[in-house]
Amino acid sequence: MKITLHMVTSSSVDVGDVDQAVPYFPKMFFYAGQGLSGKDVVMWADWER
Amino acid sequence: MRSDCNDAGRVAVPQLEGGTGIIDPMFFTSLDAQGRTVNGGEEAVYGTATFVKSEGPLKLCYKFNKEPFMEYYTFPVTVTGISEVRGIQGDNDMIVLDMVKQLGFVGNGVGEGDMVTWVVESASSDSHCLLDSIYNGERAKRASLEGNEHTSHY
Repeated sequence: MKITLHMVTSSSVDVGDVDQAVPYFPKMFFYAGQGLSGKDVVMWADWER
Repeated sequence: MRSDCNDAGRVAVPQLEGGTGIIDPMFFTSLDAQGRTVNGGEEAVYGTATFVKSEGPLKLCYKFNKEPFMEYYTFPVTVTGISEVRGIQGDNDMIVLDMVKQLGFVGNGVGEGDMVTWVVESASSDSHCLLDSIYNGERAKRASLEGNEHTSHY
């Protein structure tokens, strides 16, 4: 049995800073890592730990 | 460990209409955003997000196919926005010709290096901020940061 560990190791964007966005301006996010696929989904949530 | 990215009704905001933002389906790619080939042994995907309100910083919740969401604090996003413009003296919405006026810009993510200018009310695109600016872009003054306010002189 083979198990693959999945993780995101880097993020980048097409325009501007990777850690900032402006409402209603579409921004393209690129992610690289291990085990990523076109079936993945992302969202953002409140910063609570 | 269960991530609170999976508690959609409590703290996580799915990127749907009315939420924090929207993201299109993810797609495979072999390049990063700068067009560089990703490292060997890695995969890369991309998607387009449109945030609908200023807030943050927000943490990334990444769902690998059918797995639960994993939270990442290493890729934060702050959605910027101006919530208030304050005139240091006088009214917030009035400037006298050839008189210096200090204006403070308060909001999420505002910071040193930001710039402001004004355009005619009929302007409707980003490019108008350069072409139709009353300062023609060149005279748009660089703002300086004082506390959480920008103070600009005009």
